[in-house]
Amino acid sequence: MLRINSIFLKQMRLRSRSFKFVFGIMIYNLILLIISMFIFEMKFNININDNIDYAASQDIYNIMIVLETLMVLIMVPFFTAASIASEREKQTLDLILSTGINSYTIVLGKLLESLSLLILYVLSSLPVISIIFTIGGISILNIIQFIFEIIVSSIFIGSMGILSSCIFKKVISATICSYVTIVVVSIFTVGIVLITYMYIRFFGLNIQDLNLNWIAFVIMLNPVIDIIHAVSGDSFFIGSLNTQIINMIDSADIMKYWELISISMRIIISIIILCISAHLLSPVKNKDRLRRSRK
Amino acid sequence: MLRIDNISKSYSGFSALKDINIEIEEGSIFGLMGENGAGKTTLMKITSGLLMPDKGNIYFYDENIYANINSYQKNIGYMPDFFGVYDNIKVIEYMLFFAGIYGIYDKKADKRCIELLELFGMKDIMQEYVDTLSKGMKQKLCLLRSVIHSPKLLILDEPCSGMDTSSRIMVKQFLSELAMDGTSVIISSHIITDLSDLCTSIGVLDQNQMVINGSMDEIMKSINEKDPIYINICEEKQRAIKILKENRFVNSISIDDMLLMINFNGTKNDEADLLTSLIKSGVKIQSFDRKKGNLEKVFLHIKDNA
Repeated sequence: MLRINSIFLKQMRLRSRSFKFVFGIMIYNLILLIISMFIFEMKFNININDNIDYAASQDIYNIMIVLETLMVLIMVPFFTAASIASEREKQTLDLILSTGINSYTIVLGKLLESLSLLILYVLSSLPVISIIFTIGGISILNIIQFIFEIIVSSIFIGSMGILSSCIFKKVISATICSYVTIVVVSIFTVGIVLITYMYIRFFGLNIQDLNLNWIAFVIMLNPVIDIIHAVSGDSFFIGSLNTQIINMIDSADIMKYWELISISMRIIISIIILCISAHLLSPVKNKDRLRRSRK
Repeated sequence: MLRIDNISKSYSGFSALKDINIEIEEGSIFGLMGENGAGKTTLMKITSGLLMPDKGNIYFYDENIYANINSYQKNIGYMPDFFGVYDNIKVIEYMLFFAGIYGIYDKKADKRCIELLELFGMKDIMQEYVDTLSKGMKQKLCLLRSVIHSPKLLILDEPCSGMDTSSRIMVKQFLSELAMDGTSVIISSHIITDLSDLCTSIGVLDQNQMVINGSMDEIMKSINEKDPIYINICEEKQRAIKILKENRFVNSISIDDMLLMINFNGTKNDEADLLTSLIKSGVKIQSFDRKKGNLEKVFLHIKDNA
């Protein structure tokens, strides 16, 4: 019979009792509401006329996506980086590890907890996001796609947070490392694209003659661009970056399968990172087991 | 049941344990003694699979524990010398959480947890938050948590620290009953009387090495035999001294008025023979007593030798 991961269950119980959790959801929704109402007012009510601008609703939706993406980038590392390091600080990790529980179960429980929190935040914000439906232009499918994207990105970012949590003993160090990793990944991936673009321009190379699939792979690792591109499509994506750079990226063959490749790639990388985390967490490593069991 | 074979561990050049060998029988209680920094906690952590030794192996029912550490850990209960507390968790939830980790769920888990809490009179406080409990209560809860899955081996690091006398007695009784049911216990404590009342065998760690290791009876015997015999006589002191000097097991005699203190290295029978010969020669004896050894004496003896 399928059982709920005990670590996950315990964490959720503890988290849901804390005042910080309830307060966090409230503040988050309040900020989202204020910003969306402000944009709503700017787009529809200031220059009011007989026509409904459906493109404006897409813009509001895009802005909300950016807000939610920012939330993922800020909150997921915060939750995941503290997950294992806080057990260490409270001296409860040894109690759990001594029970013979698989370190993969611990890592998975911690990730699930962070994801559940995030999903709860996203779901709680649905009424605010639904303001868009009053105008039209955005379908329920868009919202589902957005939630799916944000979950995949949360797993990707969360796995980095879990890894930091396994490496560092203190919550504060793990949290800083987690944020730094995300900033580095975000800046580094964009940086590589920019350097490649400058290189192509400097030497006057023809984009059509080059195989730029690798550059597409690099940009897919960028958590910010990936969510925005996948959910809001090229119109918003192009608007936020230099058109020529976008043309360069779009010239890659694999761009036709952006969503599929991007999701698969992030999930595979997340699994690898989680396996490394579980390995680090285990007090008796596999190589030691093999070496000693042979004796 | 458990064989610790030549375990060594060092931390960045500092040797914490050196060539430790211990054998623990089923249903026995092994007491681990040693001063702070002697390596007790390191040994406990290695035995519970939380720390990898640099050298040596541990065998559980002749199986190398490192071949399947998770399976070994499911058969042991570990109670560290600290109590890790989660905020906002109730006593019963704390127990149920660990029951879940050990694969005990639903009604079976509820029944087992309540049964254990009742043992220590904690059923009434099961809806209280763990962080509001006293240190002694937390220790008891931690002990109960470690036996929730009925382990075959229980590893307890300073289990009675912070407990009042009645709780200490309760815990000792609980551990004795567990041992009688076949559970082996490894227990470390600074409170030597806790160990002497409870243990069937002891090990003493001193400067990262096991200086004494064996059954309680053997160790006590060896210590007792080194203890002086006190003979309080009423009459015929000179005759008594003469008989003592003639006895080949008497190494030295100290005299304090009518109290004679002798260092005697014979067996119990030799002791009895000596007493008989003194009485037969007409020496009136008020008392003839070899002071019983205790663990404290064992410990002091080791320190003196060091």
